[in-house]
Formats: sequence, structure tokens, C-alpha cells
Amino acid sequence: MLDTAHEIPLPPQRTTDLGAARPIRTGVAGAMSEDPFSDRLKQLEHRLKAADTARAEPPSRRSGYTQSSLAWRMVTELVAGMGLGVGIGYGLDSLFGTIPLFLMLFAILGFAAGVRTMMRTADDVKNKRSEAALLRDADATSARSPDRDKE
Amino acid sequence: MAGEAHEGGGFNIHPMDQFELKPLFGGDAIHWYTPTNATLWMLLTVVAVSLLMVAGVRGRALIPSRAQSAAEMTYGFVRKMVEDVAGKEALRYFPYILTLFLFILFANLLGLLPASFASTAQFAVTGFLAIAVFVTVTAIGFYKHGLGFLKLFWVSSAPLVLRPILALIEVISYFVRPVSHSIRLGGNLIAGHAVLKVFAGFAGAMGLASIAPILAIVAIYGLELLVMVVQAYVFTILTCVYLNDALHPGH
Repeated sequence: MLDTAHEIPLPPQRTTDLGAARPIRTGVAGAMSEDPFSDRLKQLEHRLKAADTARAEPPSRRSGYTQSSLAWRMVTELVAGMGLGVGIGYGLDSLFGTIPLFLMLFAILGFAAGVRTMMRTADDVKNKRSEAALLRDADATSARSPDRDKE
Repeated sequence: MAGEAHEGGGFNIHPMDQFELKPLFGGDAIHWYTPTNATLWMLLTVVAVSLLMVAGVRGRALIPSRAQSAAEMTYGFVRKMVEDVAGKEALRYFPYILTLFLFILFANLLGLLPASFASTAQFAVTGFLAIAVFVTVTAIGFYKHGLGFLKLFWVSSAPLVLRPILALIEVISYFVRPVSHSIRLGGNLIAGHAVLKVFAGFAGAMGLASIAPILAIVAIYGLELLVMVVQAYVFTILTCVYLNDALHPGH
């Protein structure tokens, strides 16, 4: 314990994990063999961090693509809902000969259905379900905290 | 085609020509039974899938060959996806979903080969796939739950007056699914291939400066590779989501 006392000025710029683990080791191994070891640890940490940032690069592009794909999905759903409504309305009208009535009604209903489907997709994005699951591993660290807040 | 780019003033680029259906054995008329280039490339897709999944795992080695481990990884990936999204009881329908995934994936990727034909860029193909999923999933829903499946459309959390209107909206939005399902796959393929073709047209027209469009084509091709795989994945996972709705209706 006395050994560690005069060692204290050295560790402050290191991360907490290693800082906590270190005094125990000094007690056992002594201060002489400790210093080169900690330097190597520090170097390793730097290299790990560099490797981490280097590896974090590729997923961002995939997540960018997934985001645009999700956006397109919503647009398609909106338009498809509207189109489907108009189609049904026009079909019913030409069947019964009441031209603007069902067209108007079902255009609105179709629009509502499109919005409904789109909102469900937005839910998927929020909960990282279905294809939005691709976003999950791309930005796992940044997405973790809001998820936890919700649940 | 790229050589005669300058003609009658404007560019002579026809990005949509590549999607034209042509009868394989000559003749002009296309009937429903006429073998076309789409038929050929779908057949090649089936051959490629069989090569991977049947011939590739023929050895059944404990230490898998490259083909066998690729096949096993694909199998495991889709199986996990089905289980994660639609639950354990959806695994009964796993063969269908794996077939869908492999067919779409290989059709997409074969379509990227130069001078090939993208069969999944035909709305007839994607539409049929989507309708098949739609009918299957709906049938499973009715088979499992009887008329209780209709609870999917009955929003029990809304006020009673609004429920019939909401039910109508829900029914329409249920039918939106196969439409957007098929348009997204076909649309992505058409867009990607058309863009590639347009840039190829530029490359033919610009002489020495065509190095720029050629580089762009390389970049877009890389992106398209990603798009093809992701679109196959998206089609499959949406199938799983719909299957999940059919197995567990009532939200």
C-alpha cells in the first residue's frame, strides 16, 4: 500500500477501469516492473481506439441507404393508398353510375389508409422493427439511449 | 448502342430498352405461354439457387466447403430472421420464405451481370410474388383464426362510432401492402438499371472525357450491389412482418 502512495501522481489521465485495476497489481508486482507495462497498456488503448474508429466507418453508408429506403417506402405507401382508394372509388362509380360520389369518398379513405400504413412504418422506424432493424447495428451506440428511455 | 449517341440533336440514350420483353425463339407476338428473356433469366435464377443450395451442400461435410458454408449461412440468417420477426410458430412457413429470399436475391444479382436481363425489374414478376405472399398470408390468417382474423381490421381502442370507418381504412391499408411491396422491389431495380444505362450512354458520347461517367458507373454499380441485397432482405422481412400479423392478429 505504501508503494502505491508515491505512485499516485502518474495514473490520472487513464480511463477509470484500468485506474481501478492498477493499485492491486502494484501491491503484488511492485513499482519497478509496473511502469513499462502501463505504457504498453496505454499504447494498446490508443491502437484499439484507432482501430475502433477505423471500423466504425463502413456501416454509416449502409444506414444512410436504409434511411432513404425507408423514406421511399413511406412515400410509396402514401401514394399507393391514395391510388388504391381512387381506383376503388372509380370502379364503384362506373358500376353504379354515380360518378363523383364514391370517387371522392374513397379518395379520402384511401389517403387515410396511406397515412395509416405510413404511420405504421414510422412506428417500425422508431422501434427498429422490420427493415429498420438494419439501422440497429449500424448506429447501435447512438440508438441505445433513447430506446432505454422509452422502456 | 453507345456509339451512335449524337443523332438528331439530342442524346440518343434509351435507358428503358433493357426492360423490354423479347420472345426467345423469334417471332413478335408474346402470349402468356411464350418463353421470353424474363423466362430464361428466371430459369437461370432457379439454376443458380439450386447450384448453391443443392449442389453446394452435396458433400454434407463436417468442415464445410465454401459453397456449403455460404448456403448454411444464408439458411441460418433467414431462419433467425423468421424466428425473430414472426415467432417460433412461423418456422413452419420458413421454407417458403427462404425460397422467396433466395429467388429474389439471385434474380437481383444475376440482373446486375452485364448483358443480362433483370427479371425482378418486371412488375409482373414482383407483383406476382407480392400477390402470392398476400394470398398466402391472408389464407394462413383465416385458417388459424377463422373469422377472428377480421379483428385485425377492427380497431377496438377507437370510439364505437368511428370503428366502421376505421375498419374500411384498415382494409384499404391492408390492400396497400402488396402494392407497395411489389412497387418497391421493381422500382428499385428499374431505377438502378436505368441510371446505369444513362451513365453508360454518357460514356459513349463524351469521347476522352468519358472517364468520369465510367468512374461514376463503377461507384453506382457498387451501390446497386448493396441495393440488390437489401431489397431482397426487405422483401423477405416484410413477408415475415405480414406473417406475424396473420399469426397474431389484434394489435
